Amino acid sequence: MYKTYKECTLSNKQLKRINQLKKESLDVEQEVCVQRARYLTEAYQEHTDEPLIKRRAYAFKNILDNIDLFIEPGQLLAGNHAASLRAASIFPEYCVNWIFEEIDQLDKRPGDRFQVSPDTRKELLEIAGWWKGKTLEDRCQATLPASVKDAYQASVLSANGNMTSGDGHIMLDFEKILHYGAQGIIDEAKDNLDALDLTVPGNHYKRIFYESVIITYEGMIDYAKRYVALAKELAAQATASEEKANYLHIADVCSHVPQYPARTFAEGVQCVWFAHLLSQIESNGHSMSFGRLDQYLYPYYKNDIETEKCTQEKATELLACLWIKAFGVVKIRPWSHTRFSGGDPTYQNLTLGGITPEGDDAVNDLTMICLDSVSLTRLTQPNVSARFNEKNPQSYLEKCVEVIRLGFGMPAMHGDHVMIPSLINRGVAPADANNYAIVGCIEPIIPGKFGYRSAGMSFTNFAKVLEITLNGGTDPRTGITLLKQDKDFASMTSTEELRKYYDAQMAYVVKTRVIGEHCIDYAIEELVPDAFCSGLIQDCLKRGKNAKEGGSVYDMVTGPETGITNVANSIAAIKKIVFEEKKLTPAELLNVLHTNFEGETGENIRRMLLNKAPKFGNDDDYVDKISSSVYLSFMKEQDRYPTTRIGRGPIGCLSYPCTATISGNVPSGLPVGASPDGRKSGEPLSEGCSPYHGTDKLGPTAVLNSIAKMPNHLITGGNLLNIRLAPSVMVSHDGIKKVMGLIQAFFAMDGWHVQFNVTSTETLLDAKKNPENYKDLVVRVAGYSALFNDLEEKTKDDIIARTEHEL
Amino acid sequence: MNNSIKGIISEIERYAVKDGPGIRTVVFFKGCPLKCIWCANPETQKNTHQLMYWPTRCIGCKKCIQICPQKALSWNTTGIMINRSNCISCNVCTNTCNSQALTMSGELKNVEEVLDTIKKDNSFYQVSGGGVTFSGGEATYQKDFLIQLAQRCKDEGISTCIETCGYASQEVYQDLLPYIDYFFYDLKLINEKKHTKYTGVSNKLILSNFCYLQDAGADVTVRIPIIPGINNTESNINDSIHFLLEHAPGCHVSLLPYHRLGASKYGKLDMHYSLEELAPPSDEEMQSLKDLFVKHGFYVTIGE
Repeated sequence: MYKTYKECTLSNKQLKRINQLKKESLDVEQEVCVQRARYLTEAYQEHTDEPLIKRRAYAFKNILDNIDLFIEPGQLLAGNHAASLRAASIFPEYCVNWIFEEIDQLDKRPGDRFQVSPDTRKELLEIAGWWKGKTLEDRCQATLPASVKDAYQASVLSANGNMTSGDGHIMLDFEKILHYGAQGIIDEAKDNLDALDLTVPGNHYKRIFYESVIITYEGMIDYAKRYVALAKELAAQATASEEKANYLHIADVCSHVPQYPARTFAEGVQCVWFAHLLSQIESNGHSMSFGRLDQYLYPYYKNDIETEKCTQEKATELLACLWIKAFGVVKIRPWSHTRFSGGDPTYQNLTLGGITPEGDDAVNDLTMICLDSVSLTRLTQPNVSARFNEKNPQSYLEKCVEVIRLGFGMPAMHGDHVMIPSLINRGVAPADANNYAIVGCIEPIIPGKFGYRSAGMSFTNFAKVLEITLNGGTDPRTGITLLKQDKDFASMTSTEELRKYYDAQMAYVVKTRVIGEHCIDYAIEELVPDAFCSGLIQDCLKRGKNAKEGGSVYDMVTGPETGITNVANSIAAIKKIVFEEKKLTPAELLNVLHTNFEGETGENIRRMLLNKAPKFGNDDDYVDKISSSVYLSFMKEQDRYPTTRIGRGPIGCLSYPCTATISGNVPSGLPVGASPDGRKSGEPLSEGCSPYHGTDKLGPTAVLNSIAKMPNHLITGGNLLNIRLAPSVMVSHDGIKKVMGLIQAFFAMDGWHVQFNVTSTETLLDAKKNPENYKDLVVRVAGYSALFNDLEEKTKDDIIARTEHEL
Repeated sequence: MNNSIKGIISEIERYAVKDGPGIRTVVFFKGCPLKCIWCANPETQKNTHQLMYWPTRCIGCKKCIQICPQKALSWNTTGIMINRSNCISCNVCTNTCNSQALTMSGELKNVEEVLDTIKKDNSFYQVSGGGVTFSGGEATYQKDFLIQLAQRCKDEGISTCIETCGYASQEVYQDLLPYIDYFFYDLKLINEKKHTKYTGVSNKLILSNFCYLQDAGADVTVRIPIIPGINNTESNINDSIHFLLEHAPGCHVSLLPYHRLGASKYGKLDMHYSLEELAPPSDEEMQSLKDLFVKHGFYVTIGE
């Protein structure tokens, strides 16, 4: 419970600073920055003789030593992802093929557009030329078996993100760098290095790992020193006394952190930002998350308040500056990947509330200040997740709902009630499970103890698997056969028979998925090991192993899966209309799907499938049970396969389900033909475990009841639910209380996650028509929030089509 | 208990948040002794099944016309026509219509069936202080069913609320009292003649039942729908204030601005809506009415 927190208003000067910084970030025309690629490639070429991890460490340091630095006027924090504001760095070691194909299209994309200057274009093409054939993607393409490529081609699986962007999805041990500083990590690595007996086989690799860690943290220290020099220089040039003081403050803070342990809240925030930023310069993966910032920075805040070094207002302002910094990290991705994650999200998650590792209420003053500060910035980053535990005070939940009411999709609410036991069930120690935080969209992990890519592995397209099953094992769009069946749906005689074929097909897909993931995992391990990141993951330094070779305490990875609801609705429609009521024969159904419900008869049948069979999300056991059983049969298969780190140290080495589809439900629907739930060919699939658009007719309680019937305890990777609410619902205090009631009841019945879009349909339609008036309209996409204008038109339509629940 | 008794229900709406405290499920009873010309739920006026036609959903396949055993359906250039004197509400057409362009308003259900639906959101009632609300139509119009249902809800520990027009014998309210936690009681017009003109019945019984509930110590919220030009006149507002000052000083008065959300349903039932041109009252007007009631010592809310 919090102690000194009270509702406060920032001074006009503070608000002006925040608004100014926010405006500059939003107004900037995004461009491609070549500097990271340049300095990385330079070092790779210089250190050809070194083992890869060390070569990468030199490359990392070379980037930090040379990239152009700047400090935004008015910013209280130093450190940028690229050489200019909100520019996108290039990570050529992951993939370059897309650069050749897309460089001239980047400013013309339907969403996530970037400008490329002629000089940048020229240099980038040269760099990409050197990398051709040497990248992670090239290695994956060279090693993937044909059966896996077929599955990707047929769209039952998609693993583009892993191959082109690496892993990410990591939460550093921020407590450690706050306590010991970069110097402490260097010292630890040196001590371990000194203690190594190099006559023992294998210690050779440990030595190289420690040396690499030392290089990267020296790079970090030097990077901060460059900022000290720059800030001093800018202070000398500054005319206004306040401006001068501001730069000198930055110089002062950066001369101490990150090298040494943080002493104040301001140093703590700067230290966290440096570590978080640098992990995103080192590797290309997204979803590097802040974790429980309200916990690890609280001691510094508390001490500063007690010694009057800081005020609540100042802390709010500083955190707002941090979120604007986080918004400045921009990812450019190949279009194949961008389609699955519209709005260039970086999924830098911030987790608030919940309980402490000891099991006590964790809500403190800083929790509330974090909520206040994100209300001020209302940007897409950080992706705010609020844990809810029955031990948390009502005023905290009320504050969360008040922020939700602002309509930028945050915070997403997470239920401790199911998450903690679910993690324990997977082998996480109870105190660690109590300490979980969200990475990326909705996936719970243990801060500083989960290694590798904890989430966002291959997408599995359930709807495509069903389509292939109905067609005898062959994808009608590509002609590719996965698991050949002896019959197609036309000759099947019962729902049970269909399920038998479907489950077999799914088992094949899961197996293929695992084979593909192993190929990619080994390529990532070999080609893009991260020494810096591993320095802040327990127990990499202890074991002398980086996170990708099994250095972490836990190793548990997850999906996501798309279209579960479409499959459940489809099987329910087949069961009821074809086999129970016999209104259609199997052959007739198959035919009408092939013709995409063509003509009046087709449309009539489509409406029958849509309207005359139960749909998930209406609290109807008939279909809700099918949904659970379809997901359980997938889980049973998934449980059989360990990850490539098995036997190398971490606890777990397993994968579990997750329904965080990001915006993947839209492109995942494109290659899927008409489905028996009445969905037309190419239309989006359902999102997460949310009901299919417009088919939830009974309001949010029925939706929540349906979802609560899923095997939530087993969906350890997170079960994503989006509910859109009309803003009118929360006008009054009474309305806020009712939304609180909705959340509490949902979590009491083992709900996993719920996020709300509080924007009226009228607003969205108008924003689609007049994008210039809605530059800062943030909407919840699925597991994250994006600028509405950054989304492609189809995703915009999809968001508009979500059933709006008028409360 | 006699569970063979059935009620005719037009709809059960879950997650209602403006019909009493907390998150509630509203049971809409079919049948009403009043015929208010502004009625927003015209499908609940009659105590029988009624076929509704939704032209925007219709794809013109005309299967319903072919299949209707009563020959009650026909096609004109704009869509389906229903010959309501032929229709026997057999549901053959609604079962056939895949587009849900023909729907049947009214379903016969026994007490336990309705209760099962109500119970589905029990966990939401518990945390939000919600429960069930009986609405309509007029729930007391099916008094035996209502009393049994309310009693069963109380057995299950579910909070109960009724939205009533007040037009039932006093004994009905007497029987209901032990099973209803909150009453939302409509006071539409104080002038008896006008009341008869616009609602079809005298208000004598309504006003006397109101006094009865007050005397019995029931928790009553007064609801006044504000229908421009009909009951927002100075005289009716003054009469209402005087009546309430005498019988329920300081009570909760809920002012409900007239809305047009039910207007489109009239056509679907082949009913005539006489207020086609009427605009809802402005926010300013609602606010000044609220101020007036507040001035006289009432607790006033608008729209809930």
